[in-house]
Amino acid sequence: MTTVPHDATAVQSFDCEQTVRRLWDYLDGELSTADFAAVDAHLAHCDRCPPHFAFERRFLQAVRDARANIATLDRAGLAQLRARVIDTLDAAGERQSSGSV
Amino acid sequence: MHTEHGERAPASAESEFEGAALACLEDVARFARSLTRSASDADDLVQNTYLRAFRSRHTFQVGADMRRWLFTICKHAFLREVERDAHDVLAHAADPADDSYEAARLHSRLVSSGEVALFDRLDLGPAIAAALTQLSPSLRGAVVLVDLEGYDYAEAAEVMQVPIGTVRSRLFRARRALQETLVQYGRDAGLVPDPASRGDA
Repeated sequence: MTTVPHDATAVQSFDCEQTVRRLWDYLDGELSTADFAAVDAHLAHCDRCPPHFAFERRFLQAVRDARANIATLDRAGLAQLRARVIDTLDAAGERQSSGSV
Repeated sequence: MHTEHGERAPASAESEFEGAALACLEDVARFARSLTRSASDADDLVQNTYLRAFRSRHTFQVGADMRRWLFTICKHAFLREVERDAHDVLAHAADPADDSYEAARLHSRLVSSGEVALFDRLDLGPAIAAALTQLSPSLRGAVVLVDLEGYDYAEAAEVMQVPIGTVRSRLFRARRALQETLVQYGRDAGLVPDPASRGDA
């Protein structure tokens, strides 16, 4: 933050550049309380910045949703991989119990 | 395996460790698939991860987050194979906030050119999954941990064993790269006109 509020209880507001430079930190919930409030204060009265935040929020949700599109194993594939891992651990003598877990 | 007081864990705890570790297999397999580019490499990485984990199970603290611990080992095993990539990442030292700013500028350009519509026309899930494979492993790791697995910056930093600022830097650059790739993907698919091919008639 480049400016300090005169009144410690007042909410600081950023300008457009200060706001969009904190865009991803804000959407990730990684800003300090004061910076978060300052971004909110700016977004409340700015016409230009909220669409950027809406666009990026939607993009991040799409990335989260893409988790389902990353190749995962079906039940048979997972059982196969599990057997392979257990075989490897047994061969290396790393399992304490040789039964099923 | 040791308790939080540093004592040797009893046999039942060893068995619990095995059960808890193998219960995370599906998560570790998905994480490995998001880091590597082939199923075969991913399965090798999972096997390697579990072997390393069991060999160092004495370092696992009872009550710790098993999934995160295995992710850390998986990430390390993977990065050891691509050390060159890690050096490439260190070469970038720009302020990550610049990437935030540039993302907003990209949005402005897409709105001005009409290309922002591609985000409505594109099936984003498969496109993002494909774009992820084009990222370097370190950048991909940051996106996977924060955006796909839901870790915050500090937790991701713990898994990657890098400073929080490095996670933030990698994450923001990865997001920008993903956006640029998606735009190009939309242009290539003919979903939006490519500005470079317009206005020549």
